[in-house]
Amino acid sequence: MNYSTNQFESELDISRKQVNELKKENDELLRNLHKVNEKLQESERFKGHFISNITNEIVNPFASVLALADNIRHLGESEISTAHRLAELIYEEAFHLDFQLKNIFAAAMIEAGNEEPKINQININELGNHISRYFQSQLKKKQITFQVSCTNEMIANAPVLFISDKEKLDLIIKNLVSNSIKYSPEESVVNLDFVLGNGELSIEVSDHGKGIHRDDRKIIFDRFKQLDEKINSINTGHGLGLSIVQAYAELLGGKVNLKDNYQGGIRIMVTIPESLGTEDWDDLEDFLIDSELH
Amino acid sequence: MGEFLNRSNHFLHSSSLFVSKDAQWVTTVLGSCVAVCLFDRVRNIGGINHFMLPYWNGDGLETPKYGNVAIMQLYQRMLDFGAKKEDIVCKIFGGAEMLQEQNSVFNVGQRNVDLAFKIVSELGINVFSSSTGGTQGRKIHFNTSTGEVLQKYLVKSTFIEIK
Repeated sequence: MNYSTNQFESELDISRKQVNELKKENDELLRNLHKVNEKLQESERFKGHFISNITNEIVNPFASVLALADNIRHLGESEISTAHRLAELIYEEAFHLDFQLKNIFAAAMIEAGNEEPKINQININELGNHISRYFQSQLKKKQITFQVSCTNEMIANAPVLFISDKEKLDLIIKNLVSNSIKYSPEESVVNLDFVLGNGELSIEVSDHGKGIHRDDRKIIFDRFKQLDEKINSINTGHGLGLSIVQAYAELLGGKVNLKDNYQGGIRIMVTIPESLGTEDWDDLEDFLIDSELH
Repeated sequence: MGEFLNRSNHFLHSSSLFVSKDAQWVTTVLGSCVAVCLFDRVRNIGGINHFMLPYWNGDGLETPKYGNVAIMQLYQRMLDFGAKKEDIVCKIFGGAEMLQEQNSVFNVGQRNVDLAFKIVSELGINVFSSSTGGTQGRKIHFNTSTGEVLQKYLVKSTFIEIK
């Protein structure tokens, strides 16, 4: 009698433990469900903004480009300085449009599962120069100082050569720098630092803008997410940039880290391992055994 | 296998998918990830994906990194290539428990496998064969024109430290 009571109690104990574990799991799943539900509501809200966003981002720049080009067409021969000014405006509009479209197509390719790394050797010093030329007119407009540094930790003063996907690195960096310029005050400094060491390239972009609140740091990688969602927000863009940065970094086997900048602002660090190239998977052959299944 | 060497080979990265009407060997390496291979037996169209997590929960982009997205996209792509639902068969691979996690919430490999079987059966597609679970990674070769799959297991302990 006594024995069976003990047995009963120990079984009861095990059942209680199992119930507790299931409760914990249930709680976790409920929390996840709640989160997904919130995101769903948000995406419903976003749909409402979609048309106005597209108008802002694509239709309006096109309309300006057309109007400005028309203006130039009707200028007299003596008005070359006006033509220069108008051409500058066309360039700015087209620049934004081009950047946004690149991001939209990149996101579409990633979502379709069509992206794969195209590996080649990249001269990072040259890439840095290219980025700084690319943003020249925006930097000038906000009088932002853009500092690029390249460090090769393995061989001092050697050029930084890295094997990875150049186009993807390029778009990662352009999105980070574009964000920093967008959220930086006038006459501030934006830094782009490359460090090559230990078979890894770290790319760090830091600014002195308003930074990103800790609570917001998880959601900024979501697509279409912009912290300032007002329609008349001075900050343009679709909110695709960081989601592309993260997806590309993952594709290249790397990761993205967010930190506070020492003097306000944000530091975003992307670390990418040097690519082995797909051929190297063949080396795996030595570690493989045949399975019984064919 | 001799044929294997002569044909063009495509390496499938995680979070991507591949469909072809032509004869191609697609190679991929799976740990806790899962690859679903679909094959139209009448038209000889083959497609394969490689996903890492079961469900997209709204984080980041809606990519084939997530099983629910990856399988539906692969199925749709097969139909776009002219495959007919009733002629499609399926093989499922991967979903090993690489970290030996006991906690079911973090049991990614098994959850990936469960999701794959669930969605495929909801689509009404027969699973022809599968090799899932366990603790060893897999390398598979999928032939898009025959639906044939060759598999090898990754041996865990034989890695050599490279300095």
